[in-house]
Amino acid sequence: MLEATGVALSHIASWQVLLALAGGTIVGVLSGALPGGAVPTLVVLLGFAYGMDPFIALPLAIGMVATVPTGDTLPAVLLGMPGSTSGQATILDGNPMAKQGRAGVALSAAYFASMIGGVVGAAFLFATIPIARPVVNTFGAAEFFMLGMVAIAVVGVVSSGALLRGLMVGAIGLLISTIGFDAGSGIPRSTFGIDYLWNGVHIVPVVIGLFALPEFIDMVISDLPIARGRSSDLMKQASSGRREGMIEVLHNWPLVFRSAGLGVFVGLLPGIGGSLAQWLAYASARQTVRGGTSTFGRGDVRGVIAPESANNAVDGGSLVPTLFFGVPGSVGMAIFLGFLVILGLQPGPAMLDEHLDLTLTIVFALVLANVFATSLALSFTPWLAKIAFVRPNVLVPLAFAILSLAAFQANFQIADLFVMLTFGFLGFFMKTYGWPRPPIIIAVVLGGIVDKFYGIASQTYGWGMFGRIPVLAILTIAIATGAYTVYVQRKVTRQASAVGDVDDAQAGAQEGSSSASVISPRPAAPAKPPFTARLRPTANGVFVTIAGLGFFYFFVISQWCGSIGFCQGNDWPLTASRLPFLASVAGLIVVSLYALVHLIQGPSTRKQKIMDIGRTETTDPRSAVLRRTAKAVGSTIGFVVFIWLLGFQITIPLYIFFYLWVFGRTRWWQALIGSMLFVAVLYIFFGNIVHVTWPDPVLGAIIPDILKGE
Amino acid sequence: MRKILPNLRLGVVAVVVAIAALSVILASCGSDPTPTPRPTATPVPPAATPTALPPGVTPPAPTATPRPTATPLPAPTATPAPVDFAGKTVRITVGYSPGGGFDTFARIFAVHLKDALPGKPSVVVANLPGANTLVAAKSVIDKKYSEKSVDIVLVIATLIQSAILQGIEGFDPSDVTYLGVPDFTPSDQTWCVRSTVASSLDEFLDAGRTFTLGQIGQVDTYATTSKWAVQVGFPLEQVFGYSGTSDMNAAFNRKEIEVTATCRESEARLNPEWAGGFATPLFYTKVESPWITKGKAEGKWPWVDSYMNIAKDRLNATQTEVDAISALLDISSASRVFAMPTKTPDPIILAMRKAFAEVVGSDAFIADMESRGYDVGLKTGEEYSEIIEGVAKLPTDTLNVIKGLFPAN
Repeated sequence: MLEATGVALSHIASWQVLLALAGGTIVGVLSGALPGGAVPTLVVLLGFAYGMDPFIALPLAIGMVATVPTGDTLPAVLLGMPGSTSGQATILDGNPMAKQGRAGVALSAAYFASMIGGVVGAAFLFATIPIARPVVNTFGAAEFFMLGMVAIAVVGVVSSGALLRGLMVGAIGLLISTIGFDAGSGIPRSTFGIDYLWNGVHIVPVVIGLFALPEFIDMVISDLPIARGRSSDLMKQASSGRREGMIEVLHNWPLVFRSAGLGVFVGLLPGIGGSLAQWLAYASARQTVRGGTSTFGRGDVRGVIAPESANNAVDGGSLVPTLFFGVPGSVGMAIFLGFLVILGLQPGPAMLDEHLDLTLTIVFALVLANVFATSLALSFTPWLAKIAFVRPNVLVPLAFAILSLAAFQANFQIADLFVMLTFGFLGFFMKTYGWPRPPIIIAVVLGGIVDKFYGIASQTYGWGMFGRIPVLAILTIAIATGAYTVYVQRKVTRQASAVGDVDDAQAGAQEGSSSASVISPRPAAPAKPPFTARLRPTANGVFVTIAGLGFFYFFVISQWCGSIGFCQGNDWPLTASRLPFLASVAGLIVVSLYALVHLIQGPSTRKQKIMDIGRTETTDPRSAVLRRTAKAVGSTIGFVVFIWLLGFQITIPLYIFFYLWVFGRTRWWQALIGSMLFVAVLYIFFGNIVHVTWPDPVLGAIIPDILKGE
Repeated sequence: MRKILPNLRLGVVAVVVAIAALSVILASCGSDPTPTPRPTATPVPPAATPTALPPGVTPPAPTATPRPTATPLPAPTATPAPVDFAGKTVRITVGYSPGGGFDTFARIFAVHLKDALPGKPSVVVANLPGANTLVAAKSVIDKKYSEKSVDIVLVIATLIQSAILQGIEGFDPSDVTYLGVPDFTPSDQTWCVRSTVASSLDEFLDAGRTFTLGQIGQVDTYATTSKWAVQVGFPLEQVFGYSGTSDMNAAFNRKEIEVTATCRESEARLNPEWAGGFATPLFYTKVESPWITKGKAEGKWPWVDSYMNIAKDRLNATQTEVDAISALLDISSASRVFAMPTKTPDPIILAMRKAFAEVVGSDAFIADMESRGYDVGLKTGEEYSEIIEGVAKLPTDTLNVIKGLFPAN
């Protein structure tokens, strides 16, 4: 190993390799910063892999793969949308910080934490090389299932303040995760004969819809930029914020290392996926750091540090099953694996002996890529933070066009945009009426994992799965964390009671991080409305009713699909019906409880104190707000419908031009530049480099081929 | 002025939209969206019989006999007209996501195809994942021909098998022009048991219990061949849900499953501990892997044989059952099928087939693929069409056994 280390070090120190690594890192950070940019960029890399020198190609690829979680912090913090799937949890506190004018602190803390997480991951990979195979073999389906269950419990954590609502949307998420072809039983579940649904509902349009679209609609309606205040002070604030963010990371070093460790562990488990790590790290941080239960979700920097440390550390862990077993844990790693194969390298034992020098080159490249990426991102933080001050009518069309391209990359079908739109309006409703959004994402991501591994574990271990030592270890850690949370919360409550009738959030903020945001005191509980008022239809009531009907549908389908004449006369077998049945029953119970509480207590007039910053309040006249709402909703729907009718190549440039010119009030040539930029992206990057298969627009027959990119 | 300006701009937009809408309507009335017919008219069999069932993807076949597949091909003896591909783009649409086995195979193939085509056109790979390559197949098969580009689609063979045996709504395998199959090799699928639970075939068969066997899904070759084994009496219990061959290998190595159907030569090379005593080979489908032959020469595993022979000798499998699996193994000896839209002109098809055969037969391609663990074996488009047509000629009993190996829905 010593000899191989020397060879790897000598390679990594050469200028060609450093240049490739730096180039890969720049592309990786940029592609992470552009929502949906990571996958197409990596696909481009695949196209160039054949015949490359592995010692140059691998650092280039590592630079591109490993730095995406660093780059994706930017849109998560500034725009409230994840640049890639690893930026989901960062939104919860990063975006509120940006809205409080603390984008500089959030970004620099995230970048610095990412670097440490990445280096921890690389160190783990290095240390694991001699024992990689036995380490990975320690964990099997039972452990994956238990870990998934622990992660699903995170739904309860992120539903803080609105538990019933969180559980209800969590159940909806679980049911969404069951849509698609069930490989185990060989039957399509709830696909309604639509080919698009065979692969299930892709997480990317769901995340973009739930988180990003509502933010943009809200921005247009409020007509306010992301951050308020004077932009002239921005550079100064961002510069000082950069230092402050780094100090926060150092101040919270145990959290950084703990989250990184969690990231490495999750990455190590083949087939689990990196997005689990960030949610586990976030939930664990919220439950264990002082005051976290009160301040997380409202702009606590520790809510940024924890997921960012974890998601960069994931790569170090996930390279172990990818390199030594050929089992990737994420989309990025799947493409990296393909890259290895095209280079002529077979993942497996050969990577530990015959190609050990290459494996070690990957380790060192991982360290350097994380350091490069952080240095790069930190140096641009003050300028990047400026995005928060861009006028909504300029920012929104550009961002929405990027988002639509990002959502489209899920399956390269128009239906991806309709999924994004559907979840966008659902997300906007949830944001407006105080329904927690993260539980849906967590449930969609984890539902399939838990179902799959429960199926395998129950067949291979039976009840014995709960007696396995690693399973017991995971369970013990989860219970210990829960117990510690209860202890901390009781302590905080006692202290709060001691100082009088103050909100627990204030107590938490006093105890917690130095930079915890100021939380307003809880308003006094309003008087109970009369019984007749409780029967009056409300938006929430309509939503709950629709959800209840949905749960009932899935309940019936899961048990009697064939008997009622659906599913070609065949009922779903147990393996296919298990999760839909459990989720729909849970959903029906929660809906019943919700209705009961509603009838007994009446509709809540108090704003739910959930982990969401809600809608931006505005004092503008109602007519102006209504006009802007019509503009936001109309342009959003119109944009997608026109893509469906005319295709991306025509709609996006026209949309950008007219939106910037008419609503953005830019000069015509400025709007044209924005429009032409997208023409170049569509035709050159997507058309001629990535070779995207554009869907045929409905009116395709009358559109010249040149405009369709053919 | 500042108030008027936005309204003025809105007015301009409204006029532009109105004109555009009018043009679209007028153009729709005047245009003929029907694509140009193929130069060579070829009879196409009737489409799948519509059923009264709710829209499902795989309605059961109405009769026991599968639809005969017509071959919409130019005559095999026709001399290919010289076609220059210079300036054209050959686009290979892969039905899976980037980075997977199909995608990497296609990308390496693309490099070789470029050199084999006259005029060295640009050969690019695009991904259109969904429904086990059905989405990609549907998107390409009906595509109209364009002078500037040539379309190829890479689909999984099990999709075509399902379509022939059970029917798939909106996809008729007889509508496809097959370019060829690059990985047609006699099946060497091999089952191994973990040595600590059974160290010989006798121990395995006489254990009086079933052994867990890792599987991916219900409609791949691992599943159908293993389901046959279960049906004829091998003591196996299929555990579905693994994500691929490597995942099943990992599950076997971590002692999660007792039997794996993955221990053919290429995988045994990646898992040296198997030959070292961790695994005991039990049986194979048609071809014995070299690592087992070598072991047998050393006196190990004398019982290893084709599972069709073992099923007949030890489990009293019927001849119909054996014929059925033998036929299924013949048609599933390939996994990657390259096809083209039916509207592609014949000279292009002939030139592409010639180049395809050249690539797959070339030493450079074989070396490239074998070094990456991929099987290589050529079946031309015509040969593959004949194999598919052969399914229709199988006796009804045999066909029913084969159909029983696929899920009911």
